[in-house]
Amino acid sequence: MKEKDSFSRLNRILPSTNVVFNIMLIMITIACIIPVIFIFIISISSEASLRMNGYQFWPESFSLEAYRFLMREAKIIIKSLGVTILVTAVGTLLGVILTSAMGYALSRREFKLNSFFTMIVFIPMIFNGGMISSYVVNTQFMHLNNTVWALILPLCVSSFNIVICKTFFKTNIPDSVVESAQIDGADHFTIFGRIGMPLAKPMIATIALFLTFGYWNDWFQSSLYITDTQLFSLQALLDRIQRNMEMMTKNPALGITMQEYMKNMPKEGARMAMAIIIIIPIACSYPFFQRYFISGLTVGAVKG
Amino acid sequence: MKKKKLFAMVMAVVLGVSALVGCGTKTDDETKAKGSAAGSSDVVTLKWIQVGNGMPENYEAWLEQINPYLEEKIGVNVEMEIVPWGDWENRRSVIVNSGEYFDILFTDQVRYNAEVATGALLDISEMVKDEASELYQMIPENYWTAASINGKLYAVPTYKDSAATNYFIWDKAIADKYSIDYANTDNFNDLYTALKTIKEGEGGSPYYMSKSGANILATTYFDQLGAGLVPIGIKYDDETKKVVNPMADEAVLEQMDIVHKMYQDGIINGDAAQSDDELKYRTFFTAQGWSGAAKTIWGPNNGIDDCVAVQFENTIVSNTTVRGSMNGIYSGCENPEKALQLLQLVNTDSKVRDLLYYGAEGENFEYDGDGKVKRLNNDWFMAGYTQGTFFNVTQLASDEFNQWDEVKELNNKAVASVMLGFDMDTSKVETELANCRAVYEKYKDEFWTGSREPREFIETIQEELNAAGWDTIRAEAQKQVDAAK
Amino acid sequence: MGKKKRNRWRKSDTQLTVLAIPTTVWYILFSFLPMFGLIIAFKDYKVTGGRSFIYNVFHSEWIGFKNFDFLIKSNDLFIILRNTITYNMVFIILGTVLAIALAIIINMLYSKRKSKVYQTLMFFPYFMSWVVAAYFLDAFLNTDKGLINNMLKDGGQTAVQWYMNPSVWPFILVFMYLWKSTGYNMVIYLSSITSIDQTLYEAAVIDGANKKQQVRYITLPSLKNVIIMMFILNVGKIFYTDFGLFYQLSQGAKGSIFSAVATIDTYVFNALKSSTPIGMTSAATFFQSVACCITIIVANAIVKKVDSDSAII
Repeated sequence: MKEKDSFSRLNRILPSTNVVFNIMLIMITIACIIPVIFIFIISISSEASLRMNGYQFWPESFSLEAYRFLMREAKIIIKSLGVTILVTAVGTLLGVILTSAMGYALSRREFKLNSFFTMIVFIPMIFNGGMISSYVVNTQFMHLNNTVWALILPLCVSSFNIVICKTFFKTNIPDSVVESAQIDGADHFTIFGRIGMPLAKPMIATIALFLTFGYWNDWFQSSLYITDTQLFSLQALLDRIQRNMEMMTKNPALGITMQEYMKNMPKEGARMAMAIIIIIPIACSYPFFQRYFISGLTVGAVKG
Repeated sequence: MKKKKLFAMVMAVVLGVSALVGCGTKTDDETKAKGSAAGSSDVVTLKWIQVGNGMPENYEAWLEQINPYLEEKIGVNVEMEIVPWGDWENRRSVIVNSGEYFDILFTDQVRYNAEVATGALLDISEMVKDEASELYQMIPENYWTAASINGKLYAVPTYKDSAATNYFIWDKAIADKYSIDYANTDNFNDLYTALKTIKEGEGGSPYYMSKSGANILATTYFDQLGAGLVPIGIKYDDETKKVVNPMADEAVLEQMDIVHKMYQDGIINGDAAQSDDELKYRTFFTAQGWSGAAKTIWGPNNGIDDCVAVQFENTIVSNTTVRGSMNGIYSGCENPEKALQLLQLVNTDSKVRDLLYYGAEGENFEYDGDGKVKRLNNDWFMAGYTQGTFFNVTQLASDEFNQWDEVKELNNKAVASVMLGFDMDTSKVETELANCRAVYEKYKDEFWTGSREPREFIETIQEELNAAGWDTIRAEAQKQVDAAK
Repeated sequence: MGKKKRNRWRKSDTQLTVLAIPTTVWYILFSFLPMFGLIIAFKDYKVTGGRSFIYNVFHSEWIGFKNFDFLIKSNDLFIILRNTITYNMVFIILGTVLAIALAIIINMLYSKRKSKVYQTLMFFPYFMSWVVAAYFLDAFLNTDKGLINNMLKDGGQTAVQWYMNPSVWPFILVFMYLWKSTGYNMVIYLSSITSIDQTLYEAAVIDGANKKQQVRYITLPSLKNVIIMMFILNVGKIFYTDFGLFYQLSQGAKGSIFSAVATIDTYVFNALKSSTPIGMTSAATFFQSVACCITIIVANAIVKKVDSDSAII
């Protein structure tokens, strides 16, 4: 929808500049997607030509074998897609709530416990107990192994996001607004819910985007905590096959008896087809978030 | 927007609740299983962790086939966790270090020393003779020695191709085309001449190398003493037991000179130092195994229709070769006797072995009229080589010859390394080992693929190794070797 | 604003505390509880059969800084430190400048639809794993079959061994970093730009400001807080590198290109294989953590001196 009011029209860049910018961006965009096209071409190359010639931009022969292979596994793929969507949705929602609540609290300078909670957020950004102790706490103490929560909870909060949130709230909800609202009898919950959050649509969209993409890409949690095949996320499933293959090829020392299993591995083309499935859907979801980067959300006139 | 938010929240709550319910049921199942195990007389459930493709889809059905049989024979039920190859490193480290309970764990030479040093594995030196006497007799004495550290045994080795043989592997069609007498080409000099002929005729790079390059030269001639550092070793047949750097050995350097020449002439692919061991067609390459593998594994994997393998140097048995596959028992295992009995059963009873190797009968495989095995599908995710010996696995009906016979023969003919049974105690030199390893990793690809001139290169490498403390390691190793004589 | 004159606990403090508590619980469970694992860096970790992890950690022998030796005594320490810090500084500066510039430009385009398309497509590289990106790079740089060498050979020149030539790698790595992260880095600036109060622009236009001046006097200053925040956050990770970028693309960060490509993370990965005690890996991470801690506190303090509002701590 064209948002051209009279002001925007007046304040535009020159048409020639627009053309220059567009050309520049087209070139940059092409540089970004050429590798993806390359991957796609590999995924439709025939096995024989991959074996003889390796990767090429224009293979000797084409074949849809890779995608047919994936179709055969469609049931599992769809199930894991379901898991991914569940994890991503719940995780993003939870993450946004937890992050923005904390960010708001930290943005209030007069908050007595501000330094205390700032430390709580800051220290984990720097110090990490390590993979094994996290594993022990998550499995032995909280019994998260083989549940969706192992995929959701460890990733829903990040200090990085909280700092972004805090900075945003600090910049966009000045003390004056808060004070006048309080004079009107509002408590912080109301200010947070009624003023802060609606105002923060672009920031929430940003954090939601980071969280969503983070969940989509994650395979590490599954690899450590999930053995139940019903609970794999999409990325974990596809990535697992990819990493199995990698491990085999990078470790010839593991011995000949292991090489028997290479016969049953999906071939090069299939791996690339999987990469395509991982990349395309989620990248195309970007406009959904971008919708919320709208302007004009200001606190309005607050005199004095 | 508000409605959507509400909807999302309700969904979240609903899903959250169902997840919790699911979680709860799982715990119930676990307690039920444990309860029944404790309840019904003496049936013990053993947890066995292996590497493979992942948990098989028909795992439950498979359990129902194997558990009753195991129960009947030795009063044991089994619970497997098959960790996918890609996750193996991380998951292992976690299992071993976090104190998570298991009974039997697959291990190999890469990790065995570290795991024993950390204290994760049980000393079964005496127990194995009592509880698994049949198994003990079946595996040669040599191998038990090789699997021991400082005289104590911590894992049961898998009796398969436990001696290592390296091969020159050819695409027979091309070799014949240029009348190469491949059967008698068993050294790098002759190899050079042969491959040059092929290159002149066919073009391209007939000798396809991955980044591991010609490092079979180190493994064929030298024992690594369990230090896990290639630049430390003793020659297999060196009675004086002098600790040296295999890369600087004259015999090795001579052959590396030829490899370097091959690289420069384009006989070896120019991207060798970056390549992985992918499933690519290649006219010639080297690998470890047995000659029958040319028909069963190397040919099919690499798209070579007619593939032959010629032995290169001797078959060696050393600690490293025997430890390619082992099963260790947890130092905190509650039923080590039963665990050993299970391992014995797997290695001696064909029915159990087949179930582990091929999958569920009727689903993944079936027996034909001759008692041989016919595979019904390729869906079985467990890795046969991690479980037990190959020698009691029932033959495939489609096999023209029994490749395990050849493996047995090679094992019997093997030359034993002079350092068989010796492991270096690395606790005093961990720092130097880490830094030397970093230096080795830095240079190994370019060295072994002949990408750089070897004699000059080894000087640079040795200099950096020395700066990283190589000589300290060497001295410590020599001290221990001399003390063990 | 310095002194805390208020010493009375107010109702609003309680409200804010309530808002902060759920997240704090999360931090306790997922960050602070596991933090005892940091001790492993100082211990010779051993397992006693049948005992819990916590028992093992506390009963293992204390060996002080011995686990740190390998890193401190390494002859390559200077190279890996230099590479890590330098690359990160270049990444931060170039990455930020490029992200901001593109964000501003995209925001100025006539067609909103086109700008959405550009943003979406620029995101694709973020989802590509480094392993896959390495295949792509190899298609160009491969000694035998790469596109570049083929072009050189066709033009009568000799092929170059790109993977053994250290001087080109800084450019390759910086380029690939920008390729992968710009789409992602832009997001925060894009969302911030759109939050800028439009009335400011209206006032500026009335005062006769052209586009360039608007950017200089309105857009950039409005982004000041965000830019500084991102800068401090990134500086707080300056001793860490994206392992995939340095290791996968260069096919191992080794050999002739080591001096140009190796970072702390790749060095530690190569030095400590699975047969090394876990204390050493833990020590390496601890070293990076402490170094980053110092850096971020210093950066934050400097910023505080200049403009106390923008500091994040």
